[in-house]
This record gives sequence, C-alpha cells and structure tokens, in this order.
Amino acid sequence: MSTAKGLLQRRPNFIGKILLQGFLIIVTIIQIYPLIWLAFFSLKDNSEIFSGDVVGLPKKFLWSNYAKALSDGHVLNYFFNSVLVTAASIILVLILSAMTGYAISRMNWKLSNLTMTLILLGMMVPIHAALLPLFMVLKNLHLLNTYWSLIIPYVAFGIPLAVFILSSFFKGVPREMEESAVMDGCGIYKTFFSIMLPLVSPAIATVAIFTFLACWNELMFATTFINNESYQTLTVGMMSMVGTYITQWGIIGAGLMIATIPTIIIYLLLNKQVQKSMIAGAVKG
Amino acid sequence: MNSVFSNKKAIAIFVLPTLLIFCGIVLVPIFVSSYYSLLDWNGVGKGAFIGLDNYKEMFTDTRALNSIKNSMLFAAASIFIQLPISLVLALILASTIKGEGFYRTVYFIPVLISTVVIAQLWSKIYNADYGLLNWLLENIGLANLAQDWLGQKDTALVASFIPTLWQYVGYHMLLMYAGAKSISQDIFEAAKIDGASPIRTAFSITIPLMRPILKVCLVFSVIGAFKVFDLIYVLTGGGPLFTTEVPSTLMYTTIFDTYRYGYGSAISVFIILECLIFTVIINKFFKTE
Amino acid sequence: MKALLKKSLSIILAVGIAGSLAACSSDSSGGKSSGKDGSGSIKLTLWDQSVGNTDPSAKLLPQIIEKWNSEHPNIQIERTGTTGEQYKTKIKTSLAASEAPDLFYGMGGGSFMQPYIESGNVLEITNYLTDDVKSRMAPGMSEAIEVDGKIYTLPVYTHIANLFVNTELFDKAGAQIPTTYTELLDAVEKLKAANITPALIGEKDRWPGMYWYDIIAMRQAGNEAVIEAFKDPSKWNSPDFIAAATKMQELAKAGAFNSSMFSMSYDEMLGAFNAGNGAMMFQANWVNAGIEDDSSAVKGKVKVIPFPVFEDGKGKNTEIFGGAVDGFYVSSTTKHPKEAVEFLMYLSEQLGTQGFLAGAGLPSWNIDGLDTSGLSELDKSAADIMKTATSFIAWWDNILPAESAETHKNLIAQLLADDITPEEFCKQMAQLKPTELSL
Repeated sequence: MSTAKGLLQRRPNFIGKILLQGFLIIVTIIQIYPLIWLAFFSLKDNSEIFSGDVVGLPKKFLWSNYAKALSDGHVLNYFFNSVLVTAASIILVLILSAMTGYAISRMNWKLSNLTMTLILLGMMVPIHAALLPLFMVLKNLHLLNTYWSLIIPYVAFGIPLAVFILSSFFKGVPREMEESAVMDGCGIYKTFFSIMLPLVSPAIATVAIFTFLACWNELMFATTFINNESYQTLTVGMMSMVGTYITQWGIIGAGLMIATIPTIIIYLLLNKQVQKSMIAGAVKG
Repeated sequence: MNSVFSNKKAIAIFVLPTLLIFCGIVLVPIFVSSYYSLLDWNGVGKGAFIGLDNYKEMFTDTRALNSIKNSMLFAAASIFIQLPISLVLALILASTIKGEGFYRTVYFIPVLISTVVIAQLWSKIYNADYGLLNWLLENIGLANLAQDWLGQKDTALVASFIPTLWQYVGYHMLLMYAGAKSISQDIFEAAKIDGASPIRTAFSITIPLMRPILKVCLVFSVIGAFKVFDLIYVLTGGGPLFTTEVPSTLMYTTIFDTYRYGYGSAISVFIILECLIFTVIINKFFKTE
Repeated sequence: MKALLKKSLSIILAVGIAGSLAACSSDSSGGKSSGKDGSGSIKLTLWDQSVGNTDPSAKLLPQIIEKWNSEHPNIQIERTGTTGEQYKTKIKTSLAASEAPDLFYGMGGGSFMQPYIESGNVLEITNYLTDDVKSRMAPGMSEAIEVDGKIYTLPVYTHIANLFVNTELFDKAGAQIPTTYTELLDAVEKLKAANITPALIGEKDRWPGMYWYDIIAMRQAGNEAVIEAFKDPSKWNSPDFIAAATKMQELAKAGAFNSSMFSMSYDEMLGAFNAGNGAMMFQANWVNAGIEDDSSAVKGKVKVIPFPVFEDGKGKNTEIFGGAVDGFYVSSTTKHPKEAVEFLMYLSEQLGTQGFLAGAGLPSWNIDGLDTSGLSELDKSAADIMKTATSFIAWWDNILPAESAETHKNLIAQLLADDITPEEFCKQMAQLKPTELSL
C-alpha cells in the first residue's frame, strides 16, 4: 500500500523530469545547430551549398577548404594578436571595473550615483558615430597602428557592462561580511581584495566571458585603427578572407570555423571557471 | 566603521583610473558627436552651425520615425519574448537538474559565434530559393506559406528580429543563471522543508531575490534593442523599402553613404538619450516596486 | 569649444596613460606612414579594396608593386587591401581625420570623391603630369578626367554596362535574344513560360536595380536629355522619364525579375547568374571574370549585348551606360607628392593595361601592340560595343550628389515594389539636387 502510494507520487515527478529533459534537449539542438551547420558547410563545395540541402552531411569531406583557408601565412600572427589584445583587455577591464563597481555599490560618496550613470552612458553609444571622434583622440595620442589603439577602446567600452554587472553582484553580498571584516581590523583594501572579490567570483568569470566575446569578435575598430598587417587581429584576417574567396563559400566556411574554434575552446575553459566559482560562491554565500 | 567606507583616498584609487580611460575614449566622442549634431556637415571640411535643425528633421521625417518605431517594437519583443525564455531556462538549469553544466554551456554557444556566421546561417534559412524554412514548409504540406521572408514588406521586420533575439537568449540566461546561483542554498532548503513546489519557490523566492540581476538584464536588453545593428544590417540592410530600418542602421547610411555627418550624429545622440531615459525608468521601476 | 574639450581631455589622457604606454607604442604612425628611414628610401602607403579572388586586380596589384619596389629601391610601396564595406568606413574616417594613406583607391570617383576634392583632402596632380603620360592614354581619356581644368586621378579601367544573356536558357525557352523592347517583353514571356527566371536583380543592395532604370531612361529619353536633367533636376519630371518608369514597372509586373530580388544581394545575384539560375543580367563588364571562371556553370554560354532599344525611344544602342573613371588618388597630406604621383602614373598604366589583358576591365590606356588573343569572348564583345560608342553616361549614383544618389536608388526600389506610380516617381526625382560634376 505504502509502496504503491509512493510510486504514484513519484510518477508524475518522473514523467515531468523526462518531459523537462526532452524540452532541454530540443533547445540544445536549436542552440547548437549553427555550429554543426558551419562545420558541414566548411567541408562542402559550391554546388552542394547552393543545392538547397541545408541540413545534410557533405557528400565528400573537402578538407582542402581548410588547407586553402590556412594557406594565408599570417593566420598564426593574426591569432597571436587577437589573443594578446583580448587578454590585455580582459585583465584591465576586470581590475578597473571590480574596483569601481565596489566603490560605487559599497562605499559612501556623494557622486557615486552620478558616476554610475556616466559610466552607463558608455553602453549606449552607437559606436559607428563615435568612430571619427575616437579616431581623432587616438591620433592625437599617437596610438594609431599599435596594440593600444585596440586595447584602450576595448577596455573603455568594456568597462560599463563590467561595472554594471559587478556592482549589482556586490550589492547582493550581505553587509555583515564586510562589517565583520572591518571589525577584525581589515583595512578597505584588504576587505576588498580578500573578502569581497572572492565572493563575486561568478560575476568576475561572467564579465571575463562577455569582455572576451566583445574583443575577440570586434571588427570595425580593428579595421580602422590598424593598417599594419603585423598588428591585425583574427577577425580582420578572416573578413579579408571572406572578401577574397567571394565565390568559394566552402573556403569561407573553413575560415569562419578556424576563427570560431578558439572562441569555443576559450569559452569552455573560462566556463569551467564560472562553474567552479559559482559552486564556491554558493557554498560561501 | 563608516570612515572605512568613505575613505576618500581609497575611493579615488578605485574610481579615478576607470574614469580617466572612460572619459577620454567614451565621453569625448559623445561630446564631439553632440557638437556635430548641431552642424550641417559632410564629414570633411567646414560645417555650418544649424542649431537643432537636425533634430527637428528627425522628428518630422517619416523614415526616421519609422526606424524609431521599429526599435521600440524590438525592445518590446526583447522584454516580453526573449527575457522570459531566458528566465525560464535559467531557473530550470539553476534548480540542480541533470546535465546542468552541459546545457548551460551549450545554450550560450550562439553568443560565441560571430555575426558573420550567424548572418550567413539565417540568410540560408530564410533564402527564398533554397532556404531551410521554405523547404520545411513545403515538406509539411504548407508550400503556400513559403515566401521571400526577408524580401517582403510584411514579413521582413519579424524575420530580421528573430536572429538577434535568438542569439542573445543564452546571454541573458547566463546572467540570470549566475544570479540565481548566488542565492544561498539554505533558503531553498528551507522552502523545500516547508513543502513549496518548484514553481512556487521560483515565483516567491528565486525571482524576487534575483532582482538586481533581472534589472541588469532588462537594462541590457533595452539598450541592446535601441542599438541593434549588426544582424539587421547584414540581413536586410534596413530594406526592403526601409521596413526593417532601425535608428542605428539609418545612422550608418546617413553618415557613410549620404555624407550627412551632422544628421547622423543627431541620430546617435538620440539613441543615447533614448537609452538613458529608459534606463532611468527601469531603475525607478525597480526602486518603487 | 570642440577643440578645447578635445584638447584638454586628450591631455588628461595623455598624461595619465601615455607614460606607461610609451614603451609599447614606439613604432606607431597613422595611415600616412610616409617617411624616410635610415637608408634614405621613401615609404609610400597604398590602400585599395581589390582582394576578391574573382577580381583580377587582386592578383595583379601585388605583382605590379613588387616590380616597382625592386626597380625603385628609393621609393618603397606598402599596400593594405581591405574588403568592401570595411574599406568604405576605413578610408572615409581616415580622410576625415587627415590620416589618409599617400595613395588610395577612390571607389568609383564622382560624388564619392567630390566632398574630399572640395575640402582639399586630395592632391591636385595636374602639374605633375607630363604630356608623355597623357599621350599614352586612350583617346578622350585625358579630357574625361579633368574637373574644371584640374586633374585629381588617372584612369585605370573603363567599365560599361551591358545585357548579359545566358544563351543556353534562351535556347531552352525558344526565346530570341532581344534587340528591341518588344522583343525583350516577348523573351520575358517565353522564359517565364519555360519556368526560367528571365532576369536577376540583387535589389537588396539597390544599385543593381538602379542600373535597370537608368539604362531604360537612357534608351527612352536619350543621353542628351539625361545630362540636361542632371543639371536641372526639374526636367526629371517629363513625359520621357515617366515613360521609362512605366516600362520599368511593366517589366516588373510581367515577372521579368526574380521574385526574391529584394532579399538578394549583388553577390548572390552573381552567384545565381553564374549557377545558371537566371537568363539575363544587366551589369558592367567587371562581372566577366566571374562568369568565365572555372567555378562558373555558365562559362562559355553567356553573350553580352547592348541593351535593347525602344521603338518609341530617343536613345540609340551606341549611347553607353558607364565609362566612369574610377582610379587611385593621392592624399594632399603626403610628404612626397612628386614620388607619389610618379607611382600613381606607373600603377594606373600598368594595372590598366595588364588588367585589361586579364579581363578586369576595358582599357583606358593605349593598348597598341598588346597581345589580346588571351581575352575572353565577353571581354572582346564588350570592347567591340565600346568601339561603337557615341556617348557615355557614368553610373548615376556617382553623378548625383551622394544624398540624391541614395534617394534615387530608394525611389527605384519603390518603383519595383509598385509602391509608387511612375508619375509620383518622377515628381520626387525632380526634387533631387543638381549634379556637382561638370558633365
């Protein structure tokens, strides 16, 4: 009797779980489809791409598309530049935004709200209109054609989003954590670095991912501020490849795949960090 | 205690470097653009000061007004369609379900993929001659519904919205998921002991506690909607006949195709103000509620 | 106020960060990285947008530059190629900020370059040109490049627009290749009956549709009347141009154009035509190389003919749409104008003649003594058509001032979508600004 009742109770739960998993798997397919499509696309030739079979496997796997896409000797150099610019931008954004986000959300000063609003403005700027003024600023600073001509704008435009996310996470931390730290005699710097920062590590990892994406995929600044091929980033290189193989879609697909794979790998690495820090955060919080 | 949190020197160290970079790179262009917006200027040479004429033109030109209307529609679609989907996914994943890490990772993938690829994908889906969508419709007996999705005035707007909405579902999901995950597990334990159903827990505990991050998402999606550019520009270029035009695509063509730098700058200042006003409204809304 | 703000903020920035950056930014310089290095050689920068694999210039440019560099150790050229849309933002921003490279490609000239010529961003090269150079140009060219007696660029190729017909599809439909408007309508009908898309337009980019209206208007009203209307826009609102707009709509309603034209880009249009998905395309001879490429399914099956004449029209088939001068320009900020022009002359002539032989465009330079046997049939036909020319009108979006050009293209899109009547179309055309060029 009691076992039957238990089964009955568990059953809807069980069915519900299956339905839920089914739903999640369908969403998975929708979300992962572009990647699979791109992978197939990059191995096809023109006639197959235009034949209308959008879903199917390539009839013959044209690995030569990749060979051609990679034959541009600069790919490694572009890749290195992208990594350098992106890494420097992420580190600077994290340091600056964590400090500022903390000061805005947890410290007492008159202009904190105004500062927040000012910084938020940065997210609202349509960058195409800012292009010419920004170009002038960089020109006057003699930074055009250097890594800094990308890093500094990426950091400046990455700050608003990062400060916004970080300060709202700081807001979610209970006051007592800090107060007890201060009671124990910690100064403001120690409280910030060793108590507060670890508490918002999920936010830090999230900000890192978002900043990474913004920098890695950015195209307009990267084309306009850099002329020297040795400083060009992967996006620019890939775009010029798209322009070069106008009619050979398979090669373009291969190039796009080459640009995408590092993103996925770096995301997976950072993502593990997000996961770890989230668990850690949840335990502490 | 208070003296520690109002340590002027510490505040300066925390805030000034950020402000310095920010002012030079972001604020200066905003100021310069506001100045340009008062000029009749082609981008080179001397401009003529014309006061607020560019703004007057913007609010009387049907093309500009239509683009503003489109961006409002887009914002509404983000708030009422995209964010709820992200929230549901985030809550499901945060409720310690089997495969949580896997799903969360995969759902974010569209955000990772560059616009070039996403645009290629969707133009192949929508293509009138060999697209996936028409192919599907023909195979389930709805051939009469097959059409030129991006080329027709009545379908182009919705069709050009969907890719962006879809791409950023994972973005908001990740933010919301992080927000839900930082809620202390003790609260959920207590709710479980009280016998609250998962849905009830979500509505009466999780969502209220996620307010700060929900506000962030709301602000991001509204700002994102007013600024939306990439995919729409690549997929339709604002066409056919301006039906999918949004302020940012209009601004781009105004500056780079018609050489009206002043008018284009006015549109960009308008976008900034529009974003700012809505951000303030959202903040007020979250404070009073 | 602007200058003050910019100055003070950039000083703040400079003081704040420049110190820490100095070490890393030592070899910075803008687009105009012209200067002498230790060995006394001059470095000139060149920007262009020739990168596509079907663009023969993309292969020729590096070769020409390499040859120049090896022959001129004292004047070294550094080239940056950027693709389409990005090139546009890059060059416009750099020109506006006076950071342009020493030499750059000027996207079709005309109204694209007009603002920069007016504001003095482009070097006037009239006095640097020798009669010797002028004499090597094709007849009429040295006059064609003059703007109010001044010269800013040298010609490279000539491009003219003609009707490309896929003979295989015409045969299949039993249609006759049209020489008159009636025959064109007839061909459209036969092609449609055979389930073949008669003509392709990539109207997403709007200018391919413009080419159709422009040639129809030229056939209807004649080149002379069109030039008059460029100078006095009120003349756009006249019976001939209304008749042209009516014909354009008549063709659209007869199903002459692909139903997906509003979502089809120029590139997709080429792809579709080269895959044999449409029987006609009205384009300039820069598409020749793609049609004759090994990857094209219609290689050898395409003929190029002058656009049909109209029974009731004033235009003749020797009145040609095209002939634009689109070449390279020298920036007025260059430190070495003499050397830059010297290279400009070399580049324009070499690219113009070698490019002609490679099928990039018709020659703007004297080609006596060149071996033209390697040219494709399409190139030869285009050259033959050009030989018959009695007058030229360049791309209308280059002749009209930039803003009017946009309006013109948008109006044609509305015409194609049946959103406005031919009368309304001409009324709005009459609101355009007159051309700033001397025609």
